Amino acid sequence: MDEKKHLLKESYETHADALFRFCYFKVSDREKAKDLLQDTFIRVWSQIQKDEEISNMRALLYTIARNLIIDEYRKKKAVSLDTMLESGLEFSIHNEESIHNYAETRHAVELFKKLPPHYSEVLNLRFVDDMSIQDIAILLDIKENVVSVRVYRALVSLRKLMTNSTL
Amino acid sequence: MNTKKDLHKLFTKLKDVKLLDSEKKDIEQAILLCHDVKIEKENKEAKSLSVKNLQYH
Repeated sequence: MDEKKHLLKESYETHADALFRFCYFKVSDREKAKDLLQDTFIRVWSQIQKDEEISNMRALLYTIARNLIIDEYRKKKAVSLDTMLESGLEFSIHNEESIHNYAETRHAVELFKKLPPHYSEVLNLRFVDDMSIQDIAILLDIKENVVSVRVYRALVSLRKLMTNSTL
Repeated sequence: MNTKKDLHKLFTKLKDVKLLDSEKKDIEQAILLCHDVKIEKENKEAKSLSVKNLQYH
């Protein structure tokens, strides 16, 4: 296989799900998140083809996705979670998941979406995608201590939400 | 107050939000195809420009 294509495929295989989740939590729209994921990789594919140096693939992917999401916000306000649920838009889980697991996942997403976007963003990167504080700081272009404080406050908020809810 | 275990469970559940295998494959194909179409278009435009230049000279 072509070396460049191999690099793209490898990056896609490694980061597609996490990047999709990142987009999905931002735009609350499954189809839109898929479009954003696709556009992100098309841009990276162009860079690979042009032999542009890519020192940190993950950081590059998230930066492109984040910029595309910002463009999307500018074009149109994000659909609220209520609207999303009313319109029947759902996140997908693997077919083999039980109904109980499905309900739990759905509940977790609903709870997560109640957080302010900058809180859900850091929690997703830190605890769902297992990114280091340092990597998050680079990605969001903020200082590491700011990330740490934000993560702490986000956890406090999430705990409060969970107290009023059963998981 | 919720325990660390509850939080861990919630984050684990959020990891279930992912693409279906078929969706993943479709998007990958689309990425490769989109790029090929773009390259083809750019090549055609470059060819057309060079023909125009030849005609001009």
